[in-house]
Amino acid sequence: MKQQDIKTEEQFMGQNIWISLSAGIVCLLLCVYSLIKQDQHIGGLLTVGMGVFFYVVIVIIYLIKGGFPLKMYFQYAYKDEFLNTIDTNAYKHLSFAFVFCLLGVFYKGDEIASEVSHATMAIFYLGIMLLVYGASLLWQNRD
Amino acid sequence: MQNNIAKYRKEARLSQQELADAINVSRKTISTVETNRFTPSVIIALKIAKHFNTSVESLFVLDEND
Repeated sequence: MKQQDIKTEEQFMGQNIWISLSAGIVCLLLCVYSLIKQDQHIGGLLTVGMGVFFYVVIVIIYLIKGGFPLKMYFQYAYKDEFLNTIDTNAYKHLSFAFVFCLLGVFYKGDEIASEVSHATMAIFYLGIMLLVYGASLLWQNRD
Repeated sequence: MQNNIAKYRKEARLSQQELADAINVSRKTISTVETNRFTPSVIIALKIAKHFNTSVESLFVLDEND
C-alpha cells in the first residue's frame, strides 16, 4: 500500500463527508417543502425541481473535479485503518438514527396533522441517514 | 491506555505527516492515536516502535482501568 493511496483515501473521505451532508440537507428540505406546501402547484414544483437539478449538476462537477478512480466509489472498505474504523462507526450511527426515526414515526406519526406520501417519507429517511453519516464522519475525523 | 508517541516524535523532530508517511498511515491516524482517541492495531504499534527503534511497551502504557 503506497502513501499516495492513503492520501487519496483521506481526500476521498473529505469529499464523501461534504456530499453526504449536503445531500442530507437537500433531502430534508424537500421533505419540509412537501409538508408545508400541500397544494403543490406546477410553479412551485418547477422551482424545487430546478433547485434539485442545479444541486445535482454541482455535485457531478464536484465529483468530476475530485478525479478519484471509479473503483473507489465501489470499494467495500478503506485501506487505512483509522479511516476504515470511522467509516464503520458512521454506519453504526446511521443505523441507530434510522431505527430511532422509524420508532419516532411509528409512535408519533399520527400526531402530524398532514398527509405525507410514501415518497416523502423515503426521502426523509434517506436524508436523515445521509446527514448522520456525514456528521458522524466529520465529528470523528476532527483533529 | 496512555502513549508516548508525541514525545518520541518530537524528540525525533518529526511532524505528524512525516511519521504518517514513514509508516504508511494517514496523518489523522497519528493525530488520534496521540490524543488517545484511537487505539491502533498491533501492526501499527509495531511499525511505530520499529521506526523509533524502541519497544511497544515503552510507547504504550496500560492504565489501571485497562
